[in-house]
Amino acid sequence: MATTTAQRPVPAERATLIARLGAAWQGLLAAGLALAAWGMSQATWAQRDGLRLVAVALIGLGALSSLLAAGLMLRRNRRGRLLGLALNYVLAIGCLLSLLGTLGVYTGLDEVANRFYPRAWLLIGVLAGFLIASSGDRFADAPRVQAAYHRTGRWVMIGSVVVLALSMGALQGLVTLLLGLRQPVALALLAGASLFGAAFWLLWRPQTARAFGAGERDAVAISGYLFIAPNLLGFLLFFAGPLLFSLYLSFTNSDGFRAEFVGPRNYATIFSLEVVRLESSSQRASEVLSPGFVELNRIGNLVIGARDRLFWIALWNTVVYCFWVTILSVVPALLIATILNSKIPGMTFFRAIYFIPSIAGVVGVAVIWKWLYNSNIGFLNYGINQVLGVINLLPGVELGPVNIPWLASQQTALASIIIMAAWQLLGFNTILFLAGLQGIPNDVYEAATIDGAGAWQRFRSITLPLLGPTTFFVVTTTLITTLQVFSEPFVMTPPPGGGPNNATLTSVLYLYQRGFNRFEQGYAAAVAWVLFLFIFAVTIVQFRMQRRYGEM
Amino acid sequence: MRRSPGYRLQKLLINAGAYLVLAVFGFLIIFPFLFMFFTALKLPTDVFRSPPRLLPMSPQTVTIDGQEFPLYLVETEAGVERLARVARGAPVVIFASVEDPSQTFERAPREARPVGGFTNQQTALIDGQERKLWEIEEAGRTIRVFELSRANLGRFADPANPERTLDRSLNDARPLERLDPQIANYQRVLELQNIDRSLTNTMLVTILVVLGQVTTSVLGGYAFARLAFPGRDSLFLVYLGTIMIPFVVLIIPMYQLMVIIGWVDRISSLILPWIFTAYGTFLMRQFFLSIPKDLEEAALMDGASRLRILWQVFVPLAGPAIATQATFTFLYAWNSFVWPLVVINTGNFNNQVLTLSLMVLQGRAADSPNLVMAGTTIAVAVPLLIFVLAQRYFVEGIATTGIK
Repeated sequence: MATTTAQRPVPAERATLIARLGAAWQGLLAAGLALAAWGMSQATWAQRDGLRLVAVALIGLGALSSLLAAGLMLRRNRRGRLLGLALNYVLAIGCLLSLLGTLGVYTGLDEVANRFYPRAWLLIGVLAGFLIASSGDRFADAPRVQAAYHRTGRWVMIGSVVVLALSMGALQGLVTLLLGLRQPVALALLAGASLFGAAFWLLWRPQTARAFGAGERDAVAISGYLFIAPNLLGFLLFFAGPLLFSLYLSFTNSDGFRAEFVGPRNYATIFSLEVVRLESSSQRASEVLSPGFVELNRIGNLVIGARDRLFWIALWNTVVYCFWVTILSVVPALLIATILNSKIPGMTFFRAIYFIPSIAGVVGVAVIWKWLYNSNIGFLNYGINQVLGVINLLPGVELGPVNIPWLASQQTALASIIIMAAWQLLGFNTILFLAGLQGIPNDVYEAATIDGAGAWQRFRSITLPLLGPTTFFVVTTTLITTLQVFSEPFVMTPPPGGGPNNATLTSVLYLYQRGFNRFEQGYAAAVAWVLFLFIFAVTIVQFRMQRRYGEM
Repeated sequence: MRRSPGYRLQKLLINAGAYLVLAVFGFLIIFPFLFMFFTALKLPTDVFRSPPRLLPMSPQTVTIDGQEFPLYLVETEAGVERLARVARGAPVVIFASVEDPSQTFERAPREARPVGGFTNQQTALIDGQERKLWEIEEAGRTIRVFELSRANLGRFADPANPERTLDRSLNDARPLERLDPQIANYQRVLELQNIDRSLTNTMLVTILVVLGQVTTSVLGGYAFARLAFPGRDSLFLVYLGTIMIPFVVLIIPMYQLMVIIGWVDRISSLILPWIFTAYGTFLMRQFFLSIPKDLEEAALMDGASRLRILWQVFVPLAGPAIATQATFTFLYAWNSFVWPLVVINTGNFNNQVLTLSLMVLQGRAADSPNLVMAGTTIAVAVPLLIFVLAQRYFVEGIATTGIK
């Protein structure tokens, strides 16, 4: 049906008229946008010069593309219509979002939280509805009963949400919003949104489409863009934009408010390393190092100096952490997954148990472990001593009671955090391995058993090779996660974190301290990019290795 | 194939070994949570014990003449008795004679004089150990002694017969205790820190983030899976690439963006930037690709709009995929810490989320692990509940990400 109407041609004069009207609108728009860009370039906008430049460029770009759209439309080119649609859509959405901002919808979420606070218990209704609906699944063989459960559950959920919304004052909120429209700015934005919205709709109409000779393909493309638009806008606004912004920041000395372009100075500081030879081991390092350099490490008589000593310490700690956590959480996970994969009863129970730490969240887990690590009243030392006590029952063995200071000592602090992180990641990796193991067909094992392969041989020559992709995935995700470690040392060591004596200072923690304790955000952005490139390089190496192993 | 008895025995042993390994690991995995749960129920006096104890206990008491006294197991002439400690006595020191260490005397610390004075007390080597020397009076004569041990005396009374009392060293008496979970700790932690407000904030943020993410990724996933538009495939590649980019690169520019648009310290900064997800969009696209095309073509023939097809055909079929994404987003939003730490930074306690409050609480209540653990239990309980309700989707979700 839709196709037949699309094929009916529009009279030529009418099509020309539509094209001219569209072109006129786009031309007008181009002029308006150019004017706005010019006005903005003249205005003084305190402190945010870079931002103004970007805004002027964007609006100028909009003006140019509007002009282009006008030209294309005059020639009745269907691309002109697509461009016009995009421009009007963006402008309408922009007006709408600014309108919401002017009306205080975004900041009003605080008020929503205020009102939600005493009424959150009403969510029990939603939970009850969910439970009712899902308990209907037990009657899968009686569709009518099941449907009744589902319907009841759904209505209970909807009802509770409505009650919650009404009791939170949704209606009054709407009235307040409408009254907010009395402000002139809000009215102007509303007018803008309606205008661009109307223009969009007029360009979108099937008649317009036919006037520009657009077919079904354009219709599908437009709906494609419309569907992806919310996602794409958010992506540009909160991902791609900040990403580029971050690259710019890393070349400035931004303190969060003011930023001056300083070129690659931040990177130069980070990468300033030098190696000098001491004349004698009693000589002080500061005598041979260039000014501004601090001793990082020494190998024999060779002193390694760095301008930013803490960056390298943090990076080293992060690498050590990443290495050990990956080993300690991947190898046992493989063992446990292999056991869980055997068809003995009770495995789902254990699977659930192992998964709990990954649900609990790093902060809660870190708080718990901080107490377990207490050297006097913590369970960890106690448990170790109990185990040692049992071992001491063997003749000739005498292992004294230990009193490991764990987080309090420079020697053991990083190890403490490594153990905890491995504990938390273990279950997640186990489930991943289990999924991989269940993908290996059983008859491969049976064939091997008939050929006389033992358990270990089967594991080595069947399980490990076939599990290659899973292992790659597990190791990669663990590496990427652990290289970004922050919360564990931040929560478990006294503020500002990273102690004792920088033993648990990790790269992201260092970034946070530079960026948010000292507000050297330009420098912190540079640290972030170096870390990002490091993570990227590690992943690429992983991919290479995976490919090589895959060919074998 | 017939199984020999030896084979069965071997199988049994292997199974037992497997269960043993699983149980040991399982215990190690679950123990920190048991510790959290039980510590949250402890009395403040029961928290700092060495060696530590898991269960929350409180002293058993008995009422004598309207007053409460703790009960102890005391060794008496009549055997081991349950007695009430009615008074805490003065500390006593047990001294042993220098000449004959088997001879001991009980004295109050004040009754012993240091040989040579307090500042310059004489010592002697006894059994290879250097001991400080004291002088005490015993039966009219002065004896040189050294300190053997110290004890606290307590006065104990028979609850059945309060007149009968006796003094014993408290070191020899074992306090009687009973299981006594302190549910009130939860009440106290809610009052101490704004845990309740953080809890509702976290709920609100999590719910809205989940709804938002599911909506945008269903829409975007559908566009990527089914609607051909110029630039679709390259855009999809860009989306895939961004999954690799770590969040750390975005912290600082995002913070500055929040400063510019005035969302620092606002709940909106915790919600709106996080309702767009490349990863979720990718997952939805993969799922939608597996849905046969005939279903929607029939609906299109009937003149249904794309939105309607998505809502009435795709969303119901994608139930499990959506549930998987929702559970993972839920966990992610509930447990997120770095971003709230950065953006809710000027001490606006009304907009804090649980992870932040927990961080503040463990600093403020560093001397009350029972309260800290109560707060942690609250923070951990909700995801755990969701896990129990939606376990299927967790496991399925992980399986699909792993197979990718």
